[in-house]
Amino acid sequence: MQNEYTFSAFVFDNVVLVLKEGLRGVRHLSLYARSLGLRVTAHLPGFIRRPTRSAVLHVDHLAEKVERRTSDVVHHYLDPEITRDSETATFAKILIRENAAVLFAKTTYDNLKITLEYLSPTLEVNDKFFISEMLSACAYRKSAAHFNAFEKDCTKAGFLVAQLIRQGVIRTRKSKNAVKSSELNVIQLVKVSCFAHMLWLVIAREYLPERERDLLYACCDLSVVIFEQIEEAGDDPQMLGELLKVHAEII
Amino acid sequence: MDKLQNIPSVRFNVPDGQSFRKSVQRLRWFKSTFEEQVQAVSIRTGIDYDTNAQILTSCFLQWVRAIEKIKPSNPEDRLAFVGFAAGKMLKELIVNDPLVLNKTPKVMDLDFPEYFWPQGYVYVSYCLNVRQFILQQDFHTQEQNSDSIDEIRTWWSFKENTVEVSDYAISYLDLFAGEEPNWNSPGQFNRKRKLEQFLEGHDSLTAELELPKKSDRH
Repeated sequence: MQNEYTFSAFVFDNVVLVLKEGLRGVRHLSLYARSLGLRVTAHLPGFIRRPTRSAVLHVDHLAEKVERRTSDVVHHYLDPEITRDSETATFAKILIRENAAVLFAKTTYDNLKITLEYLSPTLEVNDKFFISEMLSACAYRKSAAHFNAFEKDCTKAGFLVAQLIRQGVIRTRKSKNAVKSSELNVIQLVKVSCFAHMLWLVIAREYLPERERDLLYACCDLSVVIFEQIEEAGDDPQMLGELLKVHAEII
Repeated sequence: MDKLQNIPSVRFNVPDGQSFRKSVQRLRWFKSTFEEQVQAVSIRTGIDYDTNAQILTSCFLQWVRAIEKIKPSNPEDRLAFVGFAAGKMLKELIVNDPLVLNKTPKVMDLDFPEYFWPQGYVYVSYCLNVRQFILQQDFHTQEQNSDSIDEIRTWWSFKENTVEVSDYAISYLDLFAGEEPNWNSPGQFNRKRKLEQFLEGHDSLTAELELPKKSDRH
């Protein structure tokens, strides 16, 4: 199993991921501060409101620029392969990679952003949710420690569904029931997103950009429909793996 | 006018090397082909629809689970099963109703089926087209839709009866496809009856499936 913790993976985790995560944290807080600031300024008298609102937006704009520029540097120079490979990653490909955890983490981050936006379109995902790439890498390593060479890939994927939820890779400041989409509360949203992401990783894929996203949406829809079965499976990797296997065959 | 053009047709694409009846059992193909059908009807009628993706997915899942339980293991029964499976899909679509009308033309003549029951018209068009494509692609045969597909009275009874007994969707799809419907037990796949109905007028298939001709069967 190609999961030795190599020096390059060590550097990546301790430099790159920390840097990216830190910047995202700043951005997430600045978005929260912006929305809070804008709500507060809405109640101020007009002659104070306008310059205050302008200052809030300016600070937020600066934070966004810093985050984007630094992320571009990180992606371009420190992990260009990961960025490229995450777009066509499948679970089978991740399992045999030397730096499987970081590839998995990048793919997880990208996909969970999409799934959350799709499943809760009225929410501003950047504002309400924080997705942790570091914890996603952690989830992979904790799962991989239990992987058995003879185990089916879907059972391994089932381990990961449970770990992603357990590690709390999706965080929100809102209380558990406060943020609702039309159908799901926060806890359900997190479970469905994690399951849909793993389902996408195990299905037969077409490697066309527009089709990949449609497939992820199809995985989301199916995960919502079978949510009761996902709940029933709890954190049992065998049951989760079986659900993934059965439904991957019909996507 | 070619009867096949009574409903808006759709050109379905199939991945190389895969039978169409296998493709239609995959959610990705089902979703994309269903949307193509919605677009085709929309262009013809001027009605805009919104599709609830999760309800549509639920339809698909219930359909695929239902046919998985009852699909025949004997390859000779596959042909007869096509129409039944298409009828089952129509039933799920009617019962779950994933389409919502978004925008309608100012004038809708309710004597036309597409305006009398806009959602039902899409569902029937889709299921007939899929049925037709599977027969053409996988079995090299063709059906002619019956005139009843344009008869508003048939659509009145279709809508009313399927609300009461959803399995009648299977019978009505057979009727629209020019087949003799089973009104007694529409939810049951009667292999022998279906195959005999189909082979009447499809003598070339009798030879292809190496079945005894009708005159030799009794």
